[in-house]
Parts: sequence; C-alpha cells; structure tokens
Amino acid sequence: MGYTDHCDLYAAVQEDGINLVAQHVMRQRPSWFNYATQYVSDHPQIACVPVAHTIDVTHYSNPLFKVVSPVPILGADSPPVGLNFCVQLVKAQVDFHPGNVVTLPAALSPPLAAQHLAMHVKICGGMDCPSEFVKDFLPTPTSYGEATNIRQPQQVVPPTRKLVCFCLDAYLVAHIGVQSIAGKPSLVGIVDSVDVVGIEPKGLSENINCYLKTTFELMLKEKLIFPISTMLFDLPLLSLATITAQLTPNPPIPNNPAIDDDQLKVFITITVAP
Amino acid sequence: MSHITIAASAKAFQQLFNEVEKNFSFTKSDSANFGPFSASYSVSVHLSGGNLQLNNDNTFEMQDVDIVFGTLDFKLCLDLPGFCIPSFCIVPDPWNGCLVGFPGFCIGGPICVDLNLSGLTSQITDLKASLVPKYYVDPARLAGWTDLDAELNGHSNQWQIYIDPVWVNVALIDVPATIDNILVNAITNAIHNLFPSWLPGWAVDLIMAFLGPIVDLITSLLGITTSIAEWLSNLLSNVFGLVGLLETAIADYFASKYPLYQFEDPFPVLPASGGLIPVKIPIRNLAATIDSQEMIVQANVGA
Repeated sequence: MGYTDHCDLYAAVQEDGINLVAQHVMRQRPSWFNYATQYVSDHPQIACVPVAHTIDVTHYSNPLFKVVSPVPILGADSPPVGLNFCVQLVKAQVDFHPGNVVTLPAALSPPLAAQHLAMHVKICGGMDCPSEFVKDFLPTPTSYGEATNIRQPQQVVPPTRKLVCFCLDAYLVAHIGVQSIAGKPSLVGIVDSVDVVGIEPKGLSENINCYLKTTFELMLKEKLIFPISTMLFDLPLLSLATITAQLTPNPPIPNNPAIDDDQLKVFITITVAP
Repeated sequence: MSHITIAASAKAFQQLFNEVEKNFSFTKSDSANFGPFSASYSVSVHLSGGNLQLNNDNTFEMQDVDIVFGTLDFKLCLDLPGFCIPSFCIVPDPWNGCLVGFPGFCIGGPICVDLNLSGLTSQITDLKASLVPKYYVDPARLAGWTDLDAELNGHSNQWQIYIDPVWVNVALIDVPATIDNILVNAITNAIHNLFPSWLPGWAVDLIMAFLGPIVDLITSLLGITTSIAEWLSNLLSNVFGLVGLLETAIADYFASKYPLYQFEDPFPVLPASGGLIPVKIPIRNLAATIDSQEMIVQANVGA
C-alpha cells in the first residue's frame, strides 16, 4: 500500500524526530522555556538547571530567560519585597499513539487513546529564601501611616545566592488540530488534560494542573504552530499559482491530521488548474 | 523508521517535473559549408508537457515531452549556376543596324534565403531517470560561520534532489511538408532579385522556363534524394547534430542545473521573531526513491 493511495502529498513525522525537534526549539529559543527574575537572568549560574542553548543564542544576543517580576511577599509594602525565582521547562518528550514512550499517570486514564499524543514535561523551579535579609530588615519609615500623597518606596528584591529548587513531572494528553494562520493551514496542539504527579492536597493539585493546562494551551496556540508546508520542507508545488492544495477530506481519509503508528501524518490533495 | 517521510503521487510528481522542465532553455547557433551550398541556424528551445510513468525499479520515464523551437532562424545559401543571355536585335534596322535590341545580361552566383522556422517541434520520446539527493555546500560560506550566519549572509547549505537521467532520446526535428513550398517560393524570389529591374516580364518568364522547375533545381543543387522536409530535418537534426546537442543539454540540465526539490539545511521551522533567531532543524540522511505509485523522500532529524 502506498502513502498516496488516497491523496497526492503525504508527510509524516515520527515521534523520535519530533523529540529531536523539541530539543532544537528549546536550545534555540530558551527564553520560551526559561522564566526568571532579572537577577537570576543576570546570574544564570544560580538557576535551577543550566540553560542549554546554541552558540547563536548568545552570538545574536538572544536572552536565555524571559524576565518576569519577582514573587511579591504578600503584606510587605514598607517597602514592598519580592523574591527571585525561576521556572524552567527542562525536558519535553512526545509520544504519538500507540503510547510506548511516556508512561501516563492513572489520572490521565492510560492507555493513550487513539489519535492522541502524550507528553512528559519536566519542570524545575526554585525561589529564594532570604532568611538573612529578613533578619536584618528595617521597615522604611516614610511608608508609615495612611498618607496617600507619599511616594511608595520601590520594591526591594533581596540578592540571591541560591534558589531552593524542585522539579515536577507533568504529563499531558493532546490531539492535533488544523487552524488557518495567515492564510496557511497550520498544525496546532490542543491540550485535553494535564496531571502533575505527586502534588497534595487535591485542591492544590487541581490548581497546578489547571495553570499548566492553560499555559500549554496558550503556548501551543501562540508560539508552537507549524504550517503544514513546513512538514513538506516547503515543497515548491504548494506555492504554485496553478495548484490548489487542501487537506484530504473524510472520506477517503478518516483522520487528517492523523496520529498513529508513532507518527503524526498529514494527507493533502492537490487540484491543478487547467 | 526514518524520522520524516514525504511522498508525492504520480500526479504531484508530474507537476514537480513540469516546473523543472519549464526552466530549461537551450540556445545554439552554427554554420557550415557543404560545398554546393552553405547553411546556418540559430535556435532557442523550451520544453513542455509530457506523460509520466513511475517504475518499480526506482526510475521514472517521461515520454512525449514537446521540444518547442521558440526561435529557429535558418539561412541557406547556394550557388545558382551562372549563365548569360547574350544581346540580340529584336527590330533590325534595314540600313544595317538595329532599331530595338536586347542588351543581354548574365545571372548566377550565390543566392541566400532566410527562413523563419520558429514553432517547429521535436520530442523527447523517452527520458528515463532516477532521483539523486545531493548536499550543496555554498562555496562562499566562510569557515567560521554558524548555520545561522550562513543563512543571514545568503549562503545556506542546501539539500537538493536532482533528476539523474539514465537515457534521453530526442526525435528528429519535425519539419512539415509545407516547407517545400516555402523554400521554393523563397528561392524563386531570390532568383527574381537577380534579374535586372528593366527586364520585361516576358523575358523573366522565358528565363524561368529555361531554368526549369525550381523544385528540380533545388533538389539538384542541394543533392536532395528525399523530400525537402526530410532533407531539412536531417540537416538540422543529424548533420548539424541538434538532436545530439539537445540530448546532452537536457541530460546535463536535469542532472546538475535545476533540482526537482531543494531546501535549506538546517531547515527553518520557526521564523525569526521579535529579535529572536529562527529555529532551524538539521536534516540528515536524505534519500529519494521511486516506486510504481509515488516518489518517497525520507530523512532524519539531526541531533
């Protein structure tokens, strides 16, 4: 049986290939996967995990971290105090159906359903614990009282020698849809469910799961969208004025894009103008 | 299993081939002296159409690809045998003289005709080929450059898939039978131009009758034993060797001038955005094969 029995163009990426692509994306766009305060960004050696990156990242002055605000200490406003922290996505592994690479936790109802992918993501994070700072801390006198016309003091961020780090294993189940982005049919991941292993109590676990699901959904929709033409190495046929290319419908192709045989597959039918 | 598999049906492959053949061009001019006559030509050629067949032996064949002579200017020069019409008296003077005389003249020597044969066709009767992937390293790429440096300087490496011809057969140039009349008329006009302008029509007719049928004159002068159309086709195709030249040019073109498919390596999967560099994926072990149903390209993602 041929790849193009029911279509004109076929493209497939195997999960090992996708996992290598994920590593390349993470090394060439580290600031999409590493978030830290300015201090940590300026002192990357204190991050929880060294940021893997290509030489071009630093050569072209791309950041290793996306700089975010310090975590505010609630109730502290004289002056406000924030803590350095970082959150890093350090590993991402994709498993196309049938599941044989990622072992899904019970919460995600294994085995992996047909036409779905599983993903294992290792997230490491850490926050400063500024015990010495607090010991020597004196409130700012100007902030006493209720006067509203007094300028609020600037946030203080204690310098950090070391973050208290931890790592989490998150698992997600997703499927692939097609959206038109700038007139080009593009592949977009749609997250179905997320579970972070070993979080208690249940409410905290649900909050973290929801936060991560939202994060992944938005990241997949905003950043990790790939035109289908990319899977075909921008085959010149697709840009010809005389050629109209569209995803092959059902029938004859029941799932398009399809996830099976450990691959993501796309089937395209072309129409040639006379 | 390869990390990446791309397949194109026969229909898609034919479209890819048609795009490659569109960019083929061939120009040539030449001249030669063949004793009784000399000839020269100037041609420009393009390719069009064709019928594809994919084979199970990792090859494909294209048949009936039109070779269109967008320009074919042909010039033929031949030596008209010289002869003279001597002077003679038409109305004698009874007192010893001539009241009305014919002054006499000589014609002969070289005559040339220009024929515009643009639009003639030939065909690639059969082109059998396989696919061969090549890795192109831009020679202008500097040693210290990263792949991104090379891309930003317009000197990226490329994966290219070329058509590697096993054979190319080109048919003789198809010269229609109507060329007989065109050539006869052109030579008749050229002979007429040799006559002095004062020559009366009856005298022209007389001389043309003396020369006999122009077709016979041409076939005699050019040594034609077949039809003029066949003679001209053979002259261009074989004597000037245009068929062989075309076969070589077509084979060279497909083998090394214009790839069927090419893309940058590393291949950009995410464009540069907001000051961030593009994300590029190294492609390794590219292979291209053909079976009776489709073209298959397979590759791995590099580490």
